[in-house]
Amino acid sequence: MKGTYLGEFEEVVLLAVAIRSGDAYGAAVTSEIEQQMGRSVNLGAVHSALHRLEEKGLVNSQMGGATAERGGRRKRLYSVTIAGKRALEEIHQLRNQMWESIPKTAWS
Amino acid sequence: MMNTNNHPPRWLDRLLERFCAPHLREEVQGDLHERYQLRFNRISKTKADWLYFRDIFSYLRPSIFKRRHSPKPVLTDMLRNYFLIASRNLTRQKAFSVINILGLSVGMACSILILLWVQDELSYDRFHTHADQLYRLTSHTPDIHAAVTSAPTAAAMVEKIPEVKSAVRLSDNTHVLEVGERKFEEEGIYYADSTFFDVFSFPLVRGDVKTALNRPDGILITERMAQKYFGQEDALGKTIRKDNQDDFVVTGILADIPSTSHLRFDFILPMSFLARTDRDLKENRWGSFNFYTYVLLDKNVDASSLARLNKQINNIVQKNIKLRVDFQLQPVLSIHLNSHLLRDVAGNGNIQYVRIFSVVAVFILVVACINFMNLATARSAKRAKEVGLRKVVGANRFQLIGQFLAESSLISFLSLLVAIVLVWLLTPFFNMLSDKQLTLNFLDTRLLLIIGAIVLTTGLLSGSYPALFLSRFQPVKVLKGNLAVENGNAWFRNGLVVCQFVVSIIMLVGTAVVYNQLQFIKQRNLGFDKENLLYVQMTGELWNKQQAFKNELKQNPLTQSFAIAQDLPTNLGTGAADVYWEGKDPQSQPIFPTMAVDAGFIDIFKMKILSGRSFYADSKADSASYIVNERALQIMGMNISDAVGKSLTYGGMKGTIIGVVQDFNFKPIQQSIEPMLMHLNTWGGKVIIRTQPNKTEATIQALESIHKKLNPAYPFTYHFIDQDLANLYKTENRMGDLFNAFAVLAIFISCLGLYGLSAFIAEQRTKEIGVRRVLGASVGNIVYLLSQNFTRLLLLAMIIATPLAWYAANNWLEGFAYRINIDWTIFLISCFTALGIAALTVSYESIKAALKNPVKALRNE
Repeated sequence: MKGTYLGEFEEVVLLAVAIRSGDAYGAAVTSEIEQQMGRSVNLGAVHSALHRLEEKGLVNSQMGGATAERGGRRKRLYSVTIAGKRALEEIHQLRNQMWESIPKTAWS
Repeated sequence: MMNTNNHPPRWLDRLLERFCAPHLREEVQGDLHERYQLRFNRISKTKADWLYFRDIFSYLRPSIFKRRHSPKPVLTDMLRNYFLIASRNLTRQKAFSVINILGLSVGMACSILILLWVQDELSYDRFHTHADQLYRLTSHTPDIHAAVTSAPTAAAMVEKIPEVKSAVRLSDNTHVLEVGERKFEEEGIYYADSTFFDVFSFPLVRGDVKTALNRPDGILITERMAQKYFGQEDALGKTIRKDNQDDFVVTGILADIPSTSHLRFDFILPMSFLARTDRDLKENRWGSFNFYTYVLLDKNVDASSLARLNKQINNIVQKNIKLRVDFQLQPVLSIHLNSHLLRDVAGNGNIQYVRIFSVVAVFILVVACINFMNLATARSAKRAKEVGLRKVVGANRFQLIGQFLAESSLISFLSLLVAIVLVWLLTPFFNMLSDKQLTLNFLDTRLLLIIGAIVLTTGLLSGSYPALFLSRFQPVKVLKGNLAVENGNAWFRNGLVVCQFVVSIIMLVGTAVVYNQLQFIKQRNLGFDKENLLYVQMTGELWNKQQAFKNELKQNPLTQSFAIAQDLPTNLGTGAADVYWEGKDPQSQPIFPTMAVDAGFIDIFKMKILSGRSFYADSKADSASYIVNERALQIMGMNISDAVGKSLTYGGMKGTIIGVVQDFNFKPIQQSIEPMLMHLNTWGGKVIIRTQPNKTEATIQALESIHKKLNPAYPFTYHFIDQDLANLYKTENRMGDLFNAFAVLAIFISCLGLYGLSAFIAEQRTKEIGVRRVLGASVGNIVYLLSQNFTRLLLLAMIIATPLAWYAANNWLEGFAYRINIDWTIFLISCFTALGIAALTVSYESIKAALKNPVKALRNE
């Protein structure tokens, strides 16, 4: 089902939204990802991911305030929904579980 | 930090705006600009521009292009529901639907046919390029209004009055034309000045408009005639021989004259040819009124300057003649419907009939609409639950009104489709009745618009009451089931039924009056015996061989009772003002129609000499003798006893009155009898023969052989006086037929509605009838119960319709000098016919209801 699967980039974007919680709009989320990952990210890709997340019900959005830099245009502020939070937790748990399952010998 | 130059490249912005879906635009563009500002401040403009470019292109993805679906409107669902319910309603009650649609479509078909007819009547002469600048000069005296003027007037007007751009004289004639073997007597021949095409816009198919009428021996013919005389050959340049002596060269071929032209002709001959022989033209006679004069006026001439022009024309003419004649310019566009002048061109219409039929069209449509309204309101109880439910689930009043109006418009549109088929089927029949070539032309936008308007008005009008009425229901009451049908509803319905029958009765009375008047015209004693009279125009050599001709006629017992006269008492066009007698008031100027007749005339026509005598046969002595009629005696203040022997001067010739003839009609019966002066015929004219009963065929044969012997060059044609007389009332007869047809239809539609209503009421009262029957009511009782209501309505309709019908009929009859009196039997008969038809209609359903087995009616609850 479309709603369940979370792609890697989507996961990053969702995390960034969570980090920037309260002020998570397209440009801010992009800067956050760029800062955290140390590489440049396409605004278009982020927006597209945000829209997909919204369709999956992992984030929701509302129109926020405008600033001069934006030429008086309003921001769309995204926030992580309960479902989004649960999805992140599941991934986190899955990763942890996989970490735990790595046999010690593997690192030798 | 803000910089004036800190804006990203505009074209990129515009590009983004182009491809980005509108609902994302604000967010996306805002973020892009924010990033741009950041980079602009931190790095440089060039770099920021470049990165902005890259960012924009990163948005080239389907999720950004995709426009949001406009939300699916709930309206279409609702509309679908409306259609569904409408079609279910139509199919559930097929009988009612058929009555509705049939009634409406018959009504519409009638209206469309009448519309076509009215449009045709109103479109006369509009095809001329300068139609609104064309005028005809008419002459008026207190007694006579004539369409003709004198020959020199046209030229004088063009010369003296700058507003008159051009003028053309026309003179109509009958000639025998001949090409090789083909030889016919033609009536549609006009002599015309060479300015003909400056004034009129009859298109020329072959030949040159500028030169076509220049040759004095040129002739213009219509395509129809080119076909008749020359078949497939090219007629241009060919020769046509007129009256066995003059040759004319075809210089042009006219397109067939449109049926909407008041001038009807097939040939145009040059006036310059007529000028060689005609005395009016040769001597430039101002006092002889024999020519139609048409003028083209300047564009800027309006109604006010027209009066001034009339005055100028009068001044010009006044200088040349002593007669007191008033000249007026008459717009050519108004000739067809508004002109009834002496010597007017034949076949004009009548504005009165256009008005009458427009009213009839509206009447019929209203009657059809009333049917629809009535049945819809009557059946409203059946739809009350639907309305209640719709209201409960949130429909507001306007939606409901909209629904019902849309439903009625749908029905009216369906009816239109049926109506168009009906019109298509009925057009040939209608054309026969109205003597026109009407077709329903779907490319005519104006017509389409009017038909569209008819459909819409019908739909809205017929749907209006049900819509307003049904939408008023209170849902609680309706759904609880005790819908008290308000009294207002029944009142309204009854009012409509009364309305319908008022219209029907008026139409019935109208039909009866028209029929009676036409019969009256047919049977009226004209003062002479019109039966068994036939006449032959004396053409060619007949006049020269007069004596031989007379002898031949006398020798044959079949043709021996004959007379030779210039004029016939059918639609006399003559009039003389120069009649003087002893004691004539010099101020008065009565016009005396004159007839040139011979000795046998009064006997042949079986007219009655009241005193004195008729002309003597072969008597030169009677050249200054006159016979007058009773009316003339009144005008001249003489008595029958002393008139004979008194002197009278006519046309400068002093003579005596030798006889007084009883008044007889010599003009259509619309006009009263005028003073008549008969003088001895010393010229040609017509030979009138009284045939013996049942020997008409033999007489015609005898005449033909005489004609062949004496006048072989001319084709033999003959006419009947009574047919000529009948032709005078062709318009009236035609109108009578049309009126009949429409009256029948109006009654039919009314009855259709009445039938529907009675069926509905019988159905509604099924239980009541059942109970009554069980308790012992007879069939008669039940029928009486169901019909009494309608009878009351009809009686009311009669009371309302009678004065209206009387007024309308009287109005029409006022146009006739000799008319029937409307007596009360006409009303009685019309009312009882309406009552009878209605009773039959209602009783069918009533009797059916009364005969039904009451068990069936009462069995199921």
